Amino acid sequence: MKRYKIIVVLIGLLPIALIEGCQKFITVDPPVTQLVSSSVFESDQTALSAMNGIYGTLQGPDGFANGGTQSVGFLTGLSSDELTNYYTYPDQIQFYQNALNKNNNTLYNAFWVVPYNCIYDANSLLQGISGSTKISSAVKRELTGEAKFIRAFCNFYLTNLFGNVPLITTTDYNVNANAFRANKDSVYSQIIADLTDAQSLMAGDYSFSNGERIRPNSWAATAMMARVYLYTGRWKDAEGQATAVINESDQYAMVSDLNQVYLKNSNEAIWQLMPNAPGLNTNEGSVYILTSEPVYATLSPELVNAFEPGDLRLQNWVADTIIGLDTFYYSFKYKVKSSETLTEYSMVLRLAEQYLIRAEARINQDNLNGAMEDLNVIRERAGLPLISILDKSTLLSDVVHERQVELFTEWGHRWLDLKRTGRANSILSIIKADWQSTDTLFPIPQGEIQKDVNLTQNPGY
Amino acid sequence: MRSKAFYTLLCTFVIVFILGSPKTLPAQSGDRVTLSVENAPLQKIFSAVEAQTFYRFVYTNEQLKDGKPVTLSVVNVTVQTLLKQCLQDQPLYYSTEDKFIIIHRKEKETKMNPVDIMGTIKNDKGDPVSGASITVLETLKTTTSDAEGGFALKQVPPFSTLIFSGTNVEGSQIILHGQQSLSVTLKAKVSKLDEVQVIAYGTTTRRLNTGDVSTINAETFAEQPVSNPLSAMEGRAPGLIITQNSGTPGSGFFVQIRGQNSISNGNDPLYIIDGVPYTSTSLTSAFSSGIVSGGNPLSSINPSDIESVNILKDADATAIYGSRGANGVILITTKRGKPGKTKIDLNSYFGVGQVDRRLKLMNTQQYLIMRNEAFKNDGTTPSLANGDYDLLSWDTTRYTDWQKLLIGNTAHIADVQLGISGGNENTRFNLSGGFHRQTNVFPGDFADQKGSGHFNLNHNSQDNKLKVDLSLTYAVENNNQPQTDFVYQAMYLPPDAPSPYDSAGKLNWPPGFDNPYRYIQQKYQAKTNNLISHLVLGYNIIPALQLRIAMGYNNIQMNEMQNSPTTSYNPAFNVISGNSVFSNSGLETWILEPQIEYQKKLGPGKLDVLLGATAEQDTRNAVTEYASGFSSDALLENIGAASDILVLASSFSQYRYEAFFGRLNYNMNEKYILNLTGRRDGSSRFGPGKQFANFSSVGGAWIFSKEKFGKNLFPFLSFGKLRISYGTTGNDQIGDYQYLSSYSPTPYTYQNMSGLIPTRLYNPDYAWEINRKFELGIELGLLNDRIIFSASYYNNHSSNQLVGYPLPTITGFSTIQQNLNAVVQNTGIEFSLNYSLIKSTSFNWNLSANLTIPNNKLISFPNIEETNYNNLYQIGKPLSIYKSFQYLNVNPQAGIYQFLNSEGKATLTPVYPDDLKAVKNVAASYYGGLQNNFQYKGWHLDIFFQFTKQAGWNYIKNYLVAPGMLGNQPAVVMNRWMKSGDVATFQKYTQSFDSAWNAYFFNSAIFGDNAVGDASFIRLKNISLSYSFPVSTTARLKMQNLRIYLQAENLLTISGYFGLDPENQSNVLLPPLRIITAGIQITF
Repeated sequence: MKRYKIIVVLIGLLPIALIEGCQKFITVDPPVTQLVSSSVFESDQTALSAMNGIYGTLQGPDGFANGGTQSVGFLTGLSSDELTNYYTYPDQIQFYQNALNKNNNTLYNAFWVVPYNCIYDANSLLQGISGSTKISSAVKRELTGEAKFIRAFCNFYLTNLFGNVPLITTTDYNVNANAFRANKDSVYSQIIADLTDAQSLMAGDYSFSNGERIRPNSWAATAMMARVYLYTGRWKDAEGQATAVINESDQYAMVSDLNQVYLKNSNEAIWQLMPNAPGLNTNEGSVYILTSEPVYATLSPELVNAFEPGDLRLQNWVADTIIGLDTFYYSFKYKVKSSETLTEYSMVLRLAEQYLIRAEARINQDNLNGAMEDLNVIRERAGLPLISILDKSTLLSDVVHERQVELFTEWGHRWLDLKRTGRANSILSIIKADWQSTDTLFPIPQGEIQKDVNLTQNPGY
Repeated sequence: MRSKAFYTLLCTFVIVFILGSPKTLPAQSGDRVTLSVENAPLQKIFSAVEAQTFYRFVYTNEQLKDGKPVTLSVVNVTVQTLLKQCLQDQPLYYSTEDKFIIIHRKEKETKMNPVDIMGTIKNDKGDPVSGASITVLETLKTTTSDAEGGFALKQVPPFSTLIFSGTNVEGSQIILHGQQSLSVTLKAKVSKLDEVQVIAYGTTTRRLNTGDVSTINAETFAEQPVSNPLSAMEGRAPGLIITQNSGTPGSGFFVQIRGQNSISNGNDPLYIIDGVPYTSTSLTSAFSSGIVSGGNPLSSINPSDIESVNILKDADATAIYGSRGANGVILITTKRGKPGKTKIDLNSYFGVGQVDRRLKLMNTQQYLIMRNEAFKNDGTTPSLANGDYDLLSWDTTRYTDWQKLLIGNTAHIADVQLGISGGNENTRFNLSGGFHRQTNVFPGDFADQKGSGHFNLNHNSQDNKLKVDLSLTYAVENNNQPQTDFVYQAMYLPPDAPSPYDSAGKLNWPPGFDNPYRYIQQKYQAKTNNLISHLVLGYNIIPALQLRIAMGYNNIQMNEMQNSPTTSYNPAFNVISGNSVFSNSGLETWILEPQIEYQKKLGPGKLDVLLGATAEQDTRNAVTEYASGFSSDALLENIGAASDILVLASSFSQYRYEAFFGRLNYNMNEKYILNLTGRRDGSSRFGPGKQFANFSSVGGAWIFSKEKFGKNLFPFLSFGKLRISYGTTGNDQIGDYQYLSSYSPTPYTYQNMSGLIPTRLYNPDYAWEINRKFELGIELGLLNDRIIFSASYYNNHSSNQLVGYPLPTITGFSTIQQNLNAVVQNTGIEFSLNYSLIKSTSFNWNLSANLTIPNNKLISFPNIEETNYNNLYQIGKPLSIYKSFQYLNVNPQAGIYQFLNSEGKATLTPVYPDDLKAVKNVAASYYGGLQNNFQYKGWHLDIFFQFTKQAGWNYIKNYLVAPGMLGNQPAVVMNRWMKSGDVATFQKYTQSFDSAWNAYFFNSAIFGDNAVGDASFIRLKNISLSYSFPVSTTARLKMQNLRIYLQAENLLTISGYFGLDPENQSNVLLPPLRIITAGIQITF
């Protein structure tokens, strides 16, 4: 019995002794599966991982930049005159019918959550690396540039889809939770400031992505800047930025074979996103290419009929499948529907757009010859007759038309062009039964207005 | 201040402990005797033993005639030791049967002629026992005792065994030794008030408890053929709400004790199984748990292993659990062995299950009318571009009852339990194993299979100083289900949808048809291994002082797998490789609880002091991977065969918890009882400086029926007690590490490299939620405790609310944890009644009922107007309110729903949030249960009704598509607006996203109060009919007990609810099934 006594007493005392170290016992180590924020910015490697996280979010399955059915290219293709819908999912039908509900979840996730998450992540990274002493200065410069570029890129789409949007530049939730919608001009000022910084900070080559064109470099910032100046009517600046990219002929050139434009690291690519969905190449290839009845969408008759006779782009970038008596047209810019071996990347910025930007900027500065030269670069590759002396307004509508057939199903160019050139009402009211002029701006997601009382709704919703 | 009070309490304990060192041995009760006699007759010794122990002697004076007087002196020896000494030189020996010691003569027991015997039966209070049955085992002759307890049997073989049984006494056996007259004492069955109640770190009885505890015992579990013990607890205890989310085995439950205390954190009670805290949250992965709606960790507990479930509700009962007791505590105790003959128990049942309620949906004709009218209303025509395959491409003459096809099958249930238990006064054991299998009502072959083993061992050393109590439970569950609940498809698919199979017997894929049978191939499998072990070592240093150490270990491992073969996808999507989701998660808990308990008579009463400490650690880990690129569908279960693996989630968390606790209980003459508890808690869930807090309670009971005036004033009362308690508890159900800001790996890689994304904002400032509980209760026994009634009133205030304060997404996050100075109040009245209406020899009728009237209120919420909560809550109203547009009617001109705006005028376009003027409380206003037990001879019939009066979400809230769009609707939706001037229940059909759709989707389903309807129900939850064969039969079969039974669960539901099932209120999850089983129980 004595023995029991001693054993029980000892066992009894053990945990008491253990608990004596109260504070110590209940202080647990941080989880091994997460990193405490401060430790992320203590090495180049983890800081680079934080940047990778942003690209992962940017083209995650919900995001506007993933090229698939949630992407800005696809959804605004439905809202404009590029695509005919075949999908029964109500969220998607709302885009097609220009009858967006303010509770549309796809709109919220793709066009609001993902860009604002990327902006927060970029802000957090900017804050983290600016306070860090352990990150090498080269990585610091590059990541600061990339984060600012991504912030500008997201703000560009936010303001073009929603109009005035909250401008988020800090990680302080107390400030951000009560943000007001900033007017478009101040959003653009921030975009231009960020791109200017990005231009000066980032490398001019692709050394940070092992020579692959899958991270933006300073030329991507310049190309984006050209687009921003075009959208804001700063023609001279737009021309200047586009010229700078066009003149960087060591890295960028028009790819003469239309079937090779979207290959990975093609010479025309300024920035591509590397797909991360297993088993697929690009989402664009997966979603647009038809092998049987259409599931999601086909190219609209308006788009197919817009091509001039003999346009090589109609031959090479538009394909069809015939089922019974019906012919369904689809976008065939990307050639691979699904394959384990990656041969194509999702094209974000390419040289052809820069020629079109410069052409439009030159017309507006009355440099019609210069504009025609630029347009003819595009037309030549498309196998179309070159244009000669034309008046300014014809040229202006030519450039819009050229953009329609060159940039279709890419990044919402058509939708944004219709809006910024004031053509949306006249063109869409004819083909969309319930078109209203207020449909050019998407509704601010209702849940956000509930949570941030300072936000207001766009007219018409 | 609070910590000062705690130390004062602690000092008191210590002083009492030192001063109270014992000088004398307290009275023994159990199996030990202390005796000193000189030349005493045996009868005297036997009486002394009876006085000190629970043993009873069976002998005749005739037998003791030759016995010699005995001289001996023993201290604290076992009865066995004593009897050995007494009887060693006597012509006598003894045997034991249960608690009876039977004295035999050592004479040669030669065969003799049968004799006639007479006898009387008394209970242990000395009252005669009438109506008891006496059976002669050898001849199976049976008789019944008369009003004076007398009985007579003729022609009984002299050495036969007599079996005694009765409704108010415990059964017993006596072996005759030729005697012709007998005096038998049987132990009276204890009053319900004296049945053991398990409480925190100990036991008490309902009579002496100062706290509010409801007990559900093993019989309740035995009569219900359910696989999750929670299901058997529905409606059984006042203050406890349990709702089953789905009828699929292994699926989730909603459990709440006394209302919602926390605005946005866990409201789960604390579960403790055999002393080890058990998780309330399932280990199922968010990526693969759709079909089981989150799952429930108690699913792998075998209901047959449960001895009792005690629900601890007030501060007195829960404050000793400190920071975890705010939402009440559910103590589950598993079965223990009982001393006596080794028993083998075999119990098995088989049965079937079906969906109890179906919704009447439109047939093809009605459906086509709806669809075509919708186009007419919209002024357009169907087109394939609009996705109108149901009208343009499918055979519109087809009709399929999808509910019948997809959820109308029969589930099969099989259950086998085998147990062996027994032991003696020193060592007792219980060993049992069970198997349960239940299929589902979906098409395809799906089943949940569970196997479990349970072992329990109790040992007391010979000197009764050392005590060991070990319990081990190991359970394995293998749940195979489809990934998707077929209810959605059953409700949604248009009645003219094509056949799932083509003429060749393959899946049919006409355009626009999402073939529901593809989901048969998309499998979900969850395998759970669950070990629960608990060991208590106790040592009495001196009889009054026990040192205990309790150690527990719980390990749950869950492996989930979800396979989607290529053949389960529409070929048009061109899926070239199948995919699988693999999820492995584990939870390991250990707990160490040293305790000192001191029990002593002090002054006019008894003092019981408990001091203890807790150290606990929970470690959770989970990895979920998405695998694709399989070369063949046959390899989908092998992650190694996948060419692409994406880690969807990987998590690890550790929770540590420590506490010191104490309890002081003083019971004065079983009249006045005072109970004080205190606990100092530390938890790793809080940031530096916020980890510790103190909790305490005071409870008192006054048994006024013991007072002279009580007896005089209320002569009809056999028992009367008033209880009162007040105290504080806390809630720490907020997840681990919430104070740290963090980056986590993202499943979306870039450039083939892993990425990190911010996953939390830094926030060290939050602390415990504090719950102050007040309770007042009365418990009454009338008509000699035949009626036991209790009523309690509670008033709980939960403050310092930890709120995941919603943030707009522009901040990068959707919430941040904050302690808000908001107060939530839960009050309520609970009643329970147990009435033994008829109690006679052959017929018994017992009625028990419980009723709870809860009330929840948001008392204060500073600056609510400036927060996002303004649109959800209102001060002075329950948290369960729904601020909504007040529905008016269908506008006779426009044909769409109209509402009242903030000015009280009808509007077709109510404005959010200005017009949210209707406030509906979507919660139960009262609920309870009513049970009737009838017993006639060997027949038992138990009928249990569960009832809830509540408002709930109806079909409009849970709608799948708006009426007129592609998708079926309830047939009542035919009563719709068609033309100007119509007065209709439902608005006009629409198939476009126009104002009518907006009125349906936004104004009604999301914000309209017409989405709330009556969801009250009365459910015939359980019927159990059983027949126990009489001793005459069982004895012939060499069995102790043979019972056959029929049981039914959810047999009938009476409800006016608009929707599938008023309990789970879902259009996408299977309602609880109606189950009917037949079974047999054999005890050897």
